[in-house]
Amino acid sequence: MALFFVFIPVVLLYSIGYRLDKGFTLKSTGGLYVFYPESGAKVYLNDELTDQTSLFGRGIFIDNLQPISYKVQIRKDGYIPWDKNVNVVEKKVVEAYPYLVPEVMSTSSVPKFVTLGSGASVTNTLYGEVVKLFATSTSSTMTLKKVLASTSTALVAPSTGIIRKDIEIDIVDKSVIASWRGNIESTPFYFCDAERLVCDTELKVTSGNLKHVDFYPGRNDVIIYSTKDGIYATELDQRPPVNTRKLISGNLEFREKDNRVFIKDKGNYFELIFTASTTLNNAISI
Amino acid sequence: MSYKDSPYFHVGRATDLKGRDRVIYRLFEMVPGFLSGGTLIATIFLSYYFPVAAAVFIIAFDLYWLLKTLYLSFFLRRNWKRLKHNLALDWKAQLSHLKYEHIYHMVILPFYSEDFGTIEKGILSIMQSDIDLKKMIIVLAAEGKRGAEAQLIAKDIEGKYAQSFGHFITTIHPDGLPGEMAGKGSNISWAVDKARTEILDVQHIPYEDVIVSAFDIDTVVYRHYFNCVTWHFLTSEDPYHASYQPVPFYNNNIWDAPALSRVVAGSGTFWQMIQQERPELNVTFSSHSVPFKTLHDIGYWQRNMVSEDSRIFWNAFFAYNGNYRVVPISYPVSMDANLAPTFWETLKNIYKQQRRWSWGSENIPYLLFGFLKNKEIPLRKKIKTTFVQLEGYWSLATNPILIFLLGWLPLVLGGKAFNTTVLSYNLPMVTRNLMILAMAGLVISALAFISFLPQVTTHTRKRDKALMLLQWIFVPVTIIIFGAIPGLDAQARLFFGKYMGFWVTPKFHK
Repeated sequence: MALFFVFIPVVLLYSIGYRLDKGFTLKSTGGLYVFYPESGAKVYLNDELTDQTSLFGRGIFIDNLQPISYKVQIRKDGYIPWDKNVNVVEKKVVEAYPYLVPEVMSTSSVPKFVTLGSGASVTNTLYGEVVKLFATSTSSTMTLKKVLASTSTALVAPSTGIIRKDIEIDIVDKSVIASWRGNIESTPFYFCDAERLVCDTELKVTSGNLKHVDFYPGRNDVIIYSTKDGIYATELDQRPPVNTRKLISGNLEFREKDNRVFIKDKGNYFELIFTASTTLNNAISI
Repeated sequence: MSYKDSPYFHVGRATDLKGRDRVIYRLFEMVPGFLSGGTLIATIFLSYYFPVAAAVFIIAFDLYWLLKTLYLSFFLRRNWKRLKHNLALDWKAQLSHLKYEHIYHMVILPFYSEDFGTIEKGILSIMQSDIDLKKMIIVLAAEGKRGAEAQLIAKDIEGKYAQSFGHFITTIHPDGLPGEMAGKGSNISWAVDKARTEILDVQHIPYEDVIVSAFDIDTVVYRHYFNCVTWHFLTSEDPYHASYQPVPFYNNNIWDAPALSRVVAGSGTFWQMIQQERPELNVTFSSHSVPFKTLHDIGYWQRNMVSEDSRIFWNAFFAYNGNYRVVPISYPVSMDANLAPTFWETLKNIYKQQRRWSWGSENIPYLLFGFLKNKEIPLRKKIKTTFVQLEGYWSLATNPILIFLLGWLPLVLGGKAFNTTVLSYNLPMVTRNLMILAMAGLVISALAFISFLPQVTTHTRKRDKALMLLQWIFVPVTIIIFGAIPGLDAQARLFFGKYMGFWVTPKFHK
């Protein structure tokens, strides 16, 4: 019983985030949580390697941090590093959800016909589906998206935008607006201030001469948009720096379906490949 | 009027009482379920509305569990040493320093549907005891309800083995006697009184000289069990105000029982070993020995309830105004681990057996009510005993669930605001690390278990031996499914007044 009363304050204070500093003074600390869904991503804190994601540890929790600003960087071979300045708050955990884009984006063509092992040439079903995706204007694409979404993981709401996991994105007056459609309790941190005391329901992500916008494959906090210059990815997390990446240059159209991104270039169709492992330029089919 | 002559002494349940007493007893019946259920509901409630408070409670609870495990492991290790020592000791030689020849041992062997072989195994073990068999009184207690079949088995056993003992009697407990519940308590009370009138009184054997061992029918005694009990009885300061408790090993069929059954059985043994080192917190359990004089004085085992093995202790405790104790003899008796023809049936039987044992919480209202009515017991003793007993049943039913299931609840129910605190991130890590430390106690358990295993049978493979060690990884599962849940089940039944009857654990041998 005596041991319990000796240890319990220590364990509780530790759990809440208190640590002894060098002068043996009790200080309140905070933490950082970084999640990257693949193994092998290195986490740097103020340019020092701190941890690395692994097969069984894709979420990394770094505790015992003084409540100051930190530069977080995620690096993985073959990908453009992702940076973010985060303000660590006492007794709180700030979150970071990096997305990594290959240094060299590759594409894979979607041909109209594919050749079977027997040598016979047949129509590529994927090609037909991709053509259908592009056979609409941007605004009607949105409608089509909603129909497609209802058969995949995304949700459909009575709105003009695209919804994925309670976040809606839409182009309004040449800006991409992200809106939180879930309950207030669950509002993601990027709709809130640093201490999460004030949260908004709308967020202006980017603006310009935008042609089309959609979600990044597998994410609801990263979007893809197209302009006359190319196709870009950017994040809803507006803490500096905002990581915007050019995926491909040119006045191209794109559509996203089932976590795959297709591009139309002068009547030819391609799929964007988001992995850095190999250079692909082969024809694909499903 | 002494308490044992009061109408409360042999109360089995609230419905045995009238008026205000009945209401009070009924409320006391609700206490174990209220505490256990209340704890679980409060944890869920806190996790939702006050996740920080819930997390603090869970971390504090984890620490309590760790320290408790380490504390109990210490007792387990100490009793393991004591058992080893006592098993190796020549108790006959120990007795040679005392005057013991006047002591008789009466062994009550109640059975219901068990076969000839099961009963014979126990009888043979008694015959192999290093004791004068002429001083043995064997009472084979059959149930009339079971009909001619049981009586035939009893007759066969008597015919074959009666001559080997000084005294042998077969009793047939009539079915449906007024005020009785079908079960072991009513049977052995009937049997022991028959033995009194037909043997002790006829042979003029003084009640003071007889020690009664009430055994489950699958009990197999080790060679010096009776000598060990005699020695403890003769050297006790106040021998008639004590019960003599062995350690139940479930070794008879351990190599045949499935791993889950072995772990549950082993856990039961360990708990009893730990209790042997804390006799002030112990009560009688399963097979045990009691002086006949004491039994006769308090009217034998209660006939109207299930948990007669522990109730006999409380009966004596109240009869002697708290001056009653368990003397741990740190010597084993061997019994069957749960085993049925199929794995699924074995699991069902384990659950039912654990629920019956957990139904021992029916002693809580008896205890609380007794403390209210018996003014002779010191208040300090009442408070300590109440706390120990309540904590025991509460721990059994809630602790495994709190640790292995509800430890994560604040994260699930606590909402986004809680989930961004350092506390929420540390909760699973602190819980996990404390539990890993606590599980180190399992290593001690596994080694202790191995050291008391019976001789390897011919069909035992190397794989079976390895499994005897590895099986302990099932503990988190067994303490929930075969500990907490049957515990909650029994306490819920008591809470709602859905009283349980006696369930005989089926015996099966490969």
